[in-house]
Amino acid sequence: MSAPTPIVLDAPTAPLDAQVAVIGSGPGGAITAALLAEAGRDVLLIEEGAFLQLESCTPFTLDEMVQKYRNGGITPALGPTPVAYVEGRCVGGGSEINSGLYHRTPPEVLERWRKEFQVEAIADADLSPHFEACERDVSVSRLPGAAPAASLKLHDGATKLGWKSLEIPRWFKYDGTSTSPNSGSRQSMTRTFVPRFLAAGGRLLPKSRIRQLRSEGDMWLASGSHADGTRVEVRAETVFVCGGAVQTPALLRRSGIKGNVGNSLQLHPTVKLTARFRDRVNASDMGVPVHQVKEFAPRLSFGCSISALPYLELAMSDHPAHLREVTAGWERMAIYYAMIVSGSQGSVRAVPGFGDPLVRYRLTPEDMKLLAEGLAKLAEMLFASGAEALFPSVRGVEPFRSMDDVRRLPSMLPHGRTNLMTIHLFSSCPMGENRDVCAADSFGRVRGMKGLHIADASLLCTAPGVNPQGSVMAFARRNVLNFLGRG
Amino acid sequence: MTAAQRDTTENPAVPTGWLLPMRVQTVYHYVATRPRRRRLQARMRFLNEATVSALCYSVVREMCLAQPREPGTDFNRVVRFVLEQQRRMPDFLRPPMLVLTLLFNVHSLLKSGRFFHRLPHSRRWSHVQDWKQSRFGFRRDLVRFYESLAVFGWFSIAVAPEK
Repeated sequence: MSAPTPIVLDAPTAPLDAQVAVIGSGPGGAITAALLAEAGRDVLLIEEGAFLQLESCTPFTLDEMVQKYRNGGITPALGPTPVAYVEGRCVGGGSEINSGLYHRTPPEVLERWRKEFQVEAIADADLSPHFEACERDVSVSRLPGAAPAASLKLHDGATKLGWKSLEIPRWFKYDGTSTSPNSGSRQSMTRTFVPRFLAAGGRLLPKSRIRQLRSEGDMWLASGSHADGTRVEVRAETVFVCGGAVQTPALLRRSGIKGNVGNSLQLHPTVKLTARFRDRVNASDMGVPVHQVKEFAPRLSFGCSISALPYLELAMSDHPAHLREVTAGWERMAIYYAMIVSGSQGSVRAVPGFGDPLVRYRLTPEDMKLLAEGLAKLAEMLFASGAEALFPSVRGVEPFRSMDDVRRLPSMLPHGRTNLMTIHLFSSCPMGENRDVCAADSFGRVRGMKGLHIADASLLCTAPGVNPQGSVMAFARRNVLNFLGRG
Repeated sequence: MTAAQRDTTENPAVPTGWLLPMRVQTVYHYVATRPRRRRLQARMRFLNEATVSALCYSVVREMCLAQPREPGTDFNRVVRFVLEQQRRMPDFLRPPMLVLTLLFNVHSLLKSGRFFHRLPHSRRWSHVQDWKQSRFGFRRDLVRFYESLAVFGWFSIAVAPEK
């Protein structure tokens, strides 16, 4: 029997019916939709962004920002020190724009979720099969050869200090023809689960934004609009909301579903530092740095960022006197980060009269201290690996030339002058049986709402301290199999 | 015929006591009629674009160019990118950003007698520096916002492809 023709819908002219509607096609939504379609369910996968191939633009460029990021990448979590965050807005969601570094949820984090949030069935034996299946599906692999030089610098510095540094596997299918970090193809949802979903007969509705959900008897009515202005209406018995840690609570709150929804957003605040070395560490084909230092995890993690010229110039704009050095010496420079697990919680709110949700996050004094500690430790590692100058992303702080300069760093980074960012957001609708704090039960069923589920990063109870996509995929798989009666 | 008589004749159902509010309403209606509103919007759009354009030119010349040179089409591509990003930002942030951008321009008018976009480059840059080093966070943040976009845009659009 031949495979069914993929069904990608244009702007609908009439209300659509489906057994299951999945809203959002990131790692949570794509896995959920694919497994449901493969189980024979009539599934409609709705995505606000466009259906673009992974190769539609060069990764980590301005084009990608314009095509695939929500709001062109201008999305701040507001507070005394705003935290810039990014979200994917395209079929495949965040998986299309990130570097694909992969972690399982750390055991101590799962233990905390079990105790504090009373999440059921999250022992190692419960989750391992899901992690293993997802790792196979997205080809989680280690580099076939040497890591990029900038990544090795961090590893070298950590090793000299006796700190634990690891090469983190990625979603990447290496083709085995060479040991180059770029020899093969990056994996994402549009490479893996979205084709599986379409092959199983699922229908994909891109460029359609759902603004509200309404319960009508035993059915859910999802209403919104297509990018061309056409009204979109979808009627389904079951709805999985998979818009991510910001869009999911915003949609639920707009729909009047507010119990523990959008009150406990967490993220990994990240501060950056640009390092200049004596030798060459950067190249236009550098690839993704893969080392992370986990000596102080989960409180503090360190890594190397994408360090293409525009990003270097942007990072150095806090040091305008040195900006012109970048153009001449960018091959000796790279960007590094210190990422913390914050003690704070933020909120997501729908703003009446506006379409975009308001995200607030107030970093505590302890967070600012931890960020300062992280910056100092990162500087120590980079000096140990031979850096000659370090430029922190803190306005008004002079570049570090030695550890003496680092020791003069205030014990708490200043609010308002520290540039923070994150790409990890979660915990805005935590799962578990603790009704005081959880929006959904242990398997993502929204409390008191028959036929309404969540399957994305908003379910993760607290900040995992590692890249969350492995956790998102494993929990989405576990929950959808439970829904299908196979869990 | 007095104005009051004329108004009651034209609006016979309106009690005389309502005449003053009606006048206010009429003035408001006059100001807010579509052609007026459109002209006002067009004027604000022009001022916003002129401000952003002048600000981007200043940032690129001061922060991005290795050697001074006359602006070319690459400058305009960066300005276009920054204006597009301004339109893409979350909708509830757009009105305050527009107001602040206009304030940045008008502040120059109050301080030096000329709109920011009509200043020569050296005076533009000192106005940018004033805001960048201001004790008010919103002024620093505004400059930082445009500066980041202009720097990132310049090195993505005008420089990176050559690399």
